[in-house]
Amino acid sequence: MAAGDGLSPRQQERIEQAVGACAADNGLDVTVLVGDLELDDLSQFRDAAQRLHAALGERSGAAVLLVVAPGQRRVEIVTGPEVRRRVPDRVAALAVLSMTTAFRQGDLGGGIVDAVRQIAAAAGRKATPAIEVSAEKGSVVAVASGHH
Amino acid sequence: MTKISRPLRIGLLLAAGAAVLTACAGEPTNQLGYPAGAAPETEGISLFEVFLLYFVAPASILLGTAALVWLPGMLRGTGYRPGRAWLAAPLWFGGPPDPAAAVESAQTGDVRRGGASGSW
Repeated sequence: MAAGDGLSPRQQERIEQAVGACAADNGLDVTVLVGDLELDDLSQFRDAAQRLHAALGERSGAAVLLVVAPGQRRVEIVTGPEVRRRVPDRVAALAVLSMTTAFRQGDLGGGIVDAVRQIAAAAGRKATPAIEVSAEKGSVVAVASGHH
Repeated sequence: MTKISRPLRIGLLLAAGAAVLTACAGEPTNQLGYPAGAAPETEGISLFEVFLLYFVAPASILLGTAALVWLPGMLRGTGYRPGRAWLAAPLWFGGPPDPAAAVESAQTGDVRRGGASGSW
């Protein structure tokens, strides 16, 4: 498998499982976007990630978004105002650290899965009354280049 | 402890050393169990076997070990090396049903979001 070909089916499956487990066991709405963003300047990365978070619509308030851009070598975690208590910035920073450490060694899938589990563990099992995950469990949706 | 004079001690040591060396030397015919002290021409290993034993065997052990180290990582197929371009289309796990439209119509608003950033 050549570099840059994307996540293997197995890796995708593992990320789906981690995201699904997060929703089922922790009542935490976590979504993961893997791909480079169309930006003029990498300094806009945080803004673009916030916009992607806002794109989650009414879910966004209680949603955690992980944006991983392998080509741009940037990772961003955006938390909605309602989950900031369960997933404080300190927890997000730790998850980012473990991701960048794994990514540096080329382990993209493992880093993402570990980060999702880390966030879930920190948020605890307190399942807030069943959050409706609108997309069916672990659905993978291809994103067309969103913003220009 | 009885005292032994220095010349006597040296003499004893030399005698013992000579005895040991003589015992080790033995008869030349007894060396390695061969009458002439060397293996007959018919025994020993051929050039091909030398090649197998000293080149092929070590090389295969080295390659085997290297394979054991590298294979798990290769099979995991991360498909990613830092610094290379990422050509795959974006994937959004658990994302909105129509991501493109959702991003297009997203209103960031003045919401206080949290999180963290990193690069590698």
